[in-house]
Amino acid sequence: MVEKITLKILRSIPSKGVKPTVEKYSVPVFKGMTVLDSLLYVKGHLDHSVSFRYSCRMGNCGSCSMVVNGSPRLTCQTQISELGTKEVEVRPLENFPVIRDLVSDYDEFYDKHREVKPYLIRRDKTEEEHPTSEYLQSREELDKYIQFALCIKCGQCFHACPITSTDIRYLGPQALSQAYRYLTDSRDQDNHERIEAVNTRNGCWGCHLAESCSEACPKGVDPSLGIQLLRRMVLGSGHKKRQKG
Amino acid sequence: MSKRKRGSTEPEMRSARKGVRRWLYYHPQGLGRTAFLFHRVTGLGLTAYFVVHVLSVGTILSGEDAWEMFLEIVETPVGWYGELLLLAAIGFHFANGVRLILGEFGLTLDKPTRPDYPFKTGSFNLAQKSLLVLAFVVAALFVLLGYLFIFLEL
Amino acid sequence: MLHYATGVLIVVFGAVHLATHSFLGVEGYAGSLQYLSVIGRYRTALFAFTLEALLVTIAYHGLNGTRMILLEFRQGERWNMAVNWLLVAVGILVVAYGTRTVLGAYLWG
Repeated sequence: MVEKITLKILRSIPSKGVKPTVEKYSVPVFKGMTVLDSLLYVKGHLDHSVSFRYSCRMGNCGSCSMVVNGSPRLTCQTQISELGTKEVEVRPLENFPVIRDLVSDYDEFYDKHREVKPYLIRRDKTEEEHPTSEYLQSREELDKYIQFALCIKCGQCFHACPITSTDIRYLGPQALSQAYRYLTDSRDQDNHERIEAVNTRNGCWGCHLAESCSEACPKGVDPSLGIQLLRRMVLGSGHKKRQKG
Repeated sequence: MSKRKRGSTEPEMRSARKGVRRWLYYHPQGLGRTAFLFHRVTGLGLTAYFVVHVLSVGTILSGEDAWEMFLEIVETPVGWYGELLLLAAIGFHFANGVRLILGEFGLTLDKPTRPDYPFKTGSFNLAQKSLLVLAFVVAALFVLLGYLFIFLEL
Repeated sequence: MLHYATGVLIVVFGAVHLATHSFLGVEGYAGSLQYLSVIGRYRTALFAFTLEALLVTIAYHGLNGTRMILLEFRQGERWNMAVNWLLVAVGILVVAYGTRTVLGAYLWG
């Protein structure tokens, strides 16, 4: 006998005015089946109009972030058996506009990521464009930021953050921890532009240490830790807080 | 370059936000999130109390009769239990505030490491967790002391 | 930053306030609230100074906290200005009224 679960999917198409409704599908479960597998089963056998985003299926790309039974999860890394329920409810992430069904709009999220200049900045701008050699780095220097470099931009911290849920200007845990990741990188020589970008009320001073982002993170990045260390760094840099919107 | 729409518009962003409701429910409800909610609620409550307190204590300038009338309103069982609630809020806000100040300057937190599964949360480590539990203990202690002082006249 | 500083200060002043309130020439809880003992306390410099300090620091800390929360609710220049000025006005009013009480009781009480 094949075991079956009920997969509940919150479906909507905001651009066409289709209101959110929960649709139920009966899905047979096999050993080791992930939530993403069950979604693919629905798409393949029951309803091809169900939309969701996924890519690597191995927890490296971060595109299959959804809310499974109330918690943010990478669906490709969540086995149905570990949930332990006969009903599995899948919803799109909150704090993101929904495009269709489980697909959410990451534009704002990536814009905020861009705002903290997530790339190496060199003092010598011609060298930045045309580097003459590799930038060497010791293992200790790598260890300082490697935790934050594991971020896969899955958006789960953005979903979890209570400040983000009210404040649309707040940069969010992802962008701020990435700012810290580049500021501690020994190859990065910027000490002005990026600090200016995060030294605002909507930047690192907007965090109120609710720890939700770190709890949500599927990769152990601990964005909250990054933000607190970023504050200390910004404070130590002696920059005046920028008063902006 | 194709003309792709870049960035969400403000109404789009706004419509996706659930606002204050997200303070109240969130799954899984971590201890840090609970502390965040409590800190905000007690903070707002204490501010409101502070304003009312300043305004009402001003009656002392109007002489003894006015003051006695004010006391008659406050010095009732309801007022005393309210005072205990006040002490609980003060105790929690104070002790949790100390935890937040330490944490927000990066003190008491773990150093960044290479994370291995199962992940540990360095920003909500044993030190921070015990400080948070301590905040609840302090709140309880304040209430206890207040109870002894107000009701048993120690 | 001032928010953290005032937070710490309130703890200090608050402790002194509670201590003086409870132990300055009074007997028990009920005694601490009688008109004469309250007025008597107001006339000691330490109590009056702590009270005034508490007044200013709590007003700043509390209203700034409220401001932070309010500014998270909506974004925009007009909202920011409205919230800021409203809370500054409330702060000035509360501090002025409180100072009137403290000074009045201290000098003429």
